[in-house]
Amino acid sequence: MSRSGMVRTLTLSIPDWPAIAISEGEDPVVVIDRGRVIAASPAARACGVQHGERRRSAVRACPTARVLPRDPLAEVRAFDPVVSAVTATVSPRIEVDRPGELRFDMRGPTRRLGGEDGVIATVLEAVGTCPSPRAVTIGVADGPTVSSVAGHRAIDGPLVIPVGESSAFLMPLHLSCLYGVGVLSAETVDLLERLGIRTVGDLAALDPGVVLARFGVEGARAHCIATGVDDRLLAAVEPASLPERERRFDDPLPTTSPAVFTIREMAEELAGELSAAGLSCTSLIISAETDHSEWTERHWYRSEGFSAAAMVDRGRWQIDSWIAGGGVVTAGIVLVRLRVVGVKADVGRQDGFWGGIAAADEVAARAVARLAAICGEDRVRVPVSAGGRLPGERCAWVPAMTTDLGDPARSDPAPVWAGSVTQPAPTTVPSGSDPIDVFDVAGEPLAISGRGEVSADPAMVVIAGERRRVVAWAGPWPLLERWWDPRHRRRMARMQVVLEDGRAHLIAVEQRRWWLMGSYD
Amino acid sequence: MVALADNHAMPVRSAASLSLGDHVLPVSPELLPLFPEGGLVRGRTVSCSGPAARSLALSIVMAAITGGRWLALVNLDDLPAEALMEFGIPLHRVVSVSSGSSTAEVIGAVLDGFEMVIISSGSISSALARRVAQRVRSREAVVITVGESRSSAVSPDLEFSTSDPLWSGIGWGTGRLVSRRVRVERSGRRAQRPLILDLSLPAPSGVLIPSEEVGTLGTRLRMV
Repeated sequence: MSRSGMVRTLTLSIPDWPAIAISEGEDPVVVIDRGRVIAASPAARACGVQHGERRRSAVRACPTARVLPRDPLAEVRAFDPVVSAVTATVSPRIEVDRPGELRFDMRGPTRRLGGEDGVIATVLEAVGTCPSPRAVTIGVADGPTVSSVAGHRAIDGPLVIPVGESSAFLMPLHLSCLYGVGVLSAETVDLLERLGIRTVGDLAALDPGVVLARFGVEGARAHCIATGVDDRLLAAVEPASLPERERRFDDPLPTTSPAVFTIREMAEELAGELSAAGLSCTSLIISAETDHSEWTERHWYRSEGFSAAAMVDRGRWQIDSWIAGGGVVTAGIVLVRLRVVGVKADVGRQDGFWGGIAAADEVAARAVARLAAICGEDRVRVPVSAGGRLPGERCAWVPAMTTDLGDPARSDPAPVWAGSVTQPAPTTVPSGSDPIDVFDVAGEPLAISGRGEVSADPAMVVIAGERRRVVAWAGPWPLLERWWDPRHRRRMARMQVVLEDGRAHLIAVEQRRWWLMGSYD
Repeated sequence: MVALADNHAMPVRSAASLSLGDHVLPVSPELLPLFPEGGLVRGRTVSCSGPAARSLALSIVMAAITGGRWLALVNLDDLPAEALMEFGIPLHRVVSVSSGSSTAEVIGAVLDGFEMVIISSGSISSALARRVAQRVRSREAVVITVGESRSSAVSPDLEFSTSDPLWSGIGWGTGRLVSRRVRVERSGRRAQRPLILDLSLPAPSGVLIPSEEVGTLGTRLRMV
């Protein structure tokens, strides 16, 4: 491998993008994924919120923070102006690894814009025109991976690694920097560390044959990068033999759903074709065109490879944000194209979905796409773990098309929060709050005191006009949620009642009004 | 006539049991007495009604979903995912659809993609029920309706009606809901003989369902 094969690359990334994308104003925001903090807004950071810590300790560090689940669609939508600004001013062909990070081949722009400093200045100026000023980091180096590493460390202004000095830059860094850019898995970093190999320099010093034998393709690639050879190609080069799919529509498609449905079909064909050749797609260009020749094209990269479902996710994000962008799209879609521009050997780290485990998974995934096309994406939902003390809060139903269906971990049970009413959970939880009446033995409306005691024994419950006698009851269990936040604070009490027809309900009172929280049926 | 029909059914069943894994979806052992064929036969419709309808439906599908099948819930928006979890159903193979105005189309697509479907019976009209039954037969899925049925035109293959729930663990201002004893009555076109069973649903230790056959209504035929 020769160094001349490496592409001078600029990586722009916005730290904590999942939090920045959904913040409004300066209020602290913490984003939680699978029970851990994955991003925090600057205000929350200032309070000391750390990556990877649990929700509880994040809330302790910053009690005023809004704690939110991840919103991939909002992340893409908010990143779109940045992508458009860079596309318009610097380079038409940029690679979007994930929302919040993009990179491009610098060679062309460098000639045109007066050197690398000129390119960096143009990028910063372009990003500066986007709504809400953002702290962006810029890294420039030989090859996309090293430029990402540089980008992640460029906290005090752009970091430019001179040509041929990648290795010297990487040597003293801890190996986890290669985990952050998707070259090594967390497990491998951990294993290497236990073997006494802590820095990139330690890894580079090993014999490449030994690394390949012990750590396979993953280790060999990390070793290459450690020694300064980073020759993954960017979007500019298009190997001819890689598959692509294109569909034209005689009748322009008026909405997103049919386009996504088409993308899913094409993605399945592409994934099938590649896996038959023992490959998986790491780099994908998705384009679409309207009847009025409006055009969207994005380059997506995923180091672990795209399953068909992951390709569809990207396609839907892209087309959604394009159409929702406002004013850009004035006609229906007449063309959709998927082009595979980067592949790697399929080493069996694919999502379970395409791993050939169960045909049922594949069939179900296709049915989900069809259902979404029939009745709308918002009406087809799957559970993901969330957190909360009220019935229905421990798991949330989210649109199926916004998740990777093949990833079983998305619905790993969240821990039970202290203060929840214990098992069993109600099997019906009305979406609204249905008002009910609860009376005590004297026929007076039942009240709960500030100390969480009932005014008298409950005797009668009226649900939807039907009066029934109480035959057993338990509680009340008071609950004070978000006591630190005057706007979202809730103070309520919950009780379980069994009525004369044998049915049991969970009822709650808030500000003297009773409502039906759930039923056990 | 009845005896003839049942005798005739015997060899067919044993032939089917050769490919049991394919033709019959499993149910948990505690529920086996409710299923004359030893599990959920594909292409059948089942209804659950009464005060424990949802709990019964969820416990019926649990074993099949754990075994790798997918579950679709149709028009059950008010069923929280954590209840599914407590019944031991792996959430990553569950999809919930609310059909809006295109119920018939949605049910068609659901039957193509899922082997196990639970539908709120309130969303099925008589005309639709007939079509659903036909499609289910040709698609080899199992459809379970929950709630009181609006249509008397089409009777399901198996009907489970729950009654007389008795909660334990809760007192007069003390304790909390822990477990429920409920009576399940089996009827329906393919029930062979009516049956009454008492189940713990849920049981004190979670979802385990020890069962106890109470008796049969008018024993017509005994297998020898």
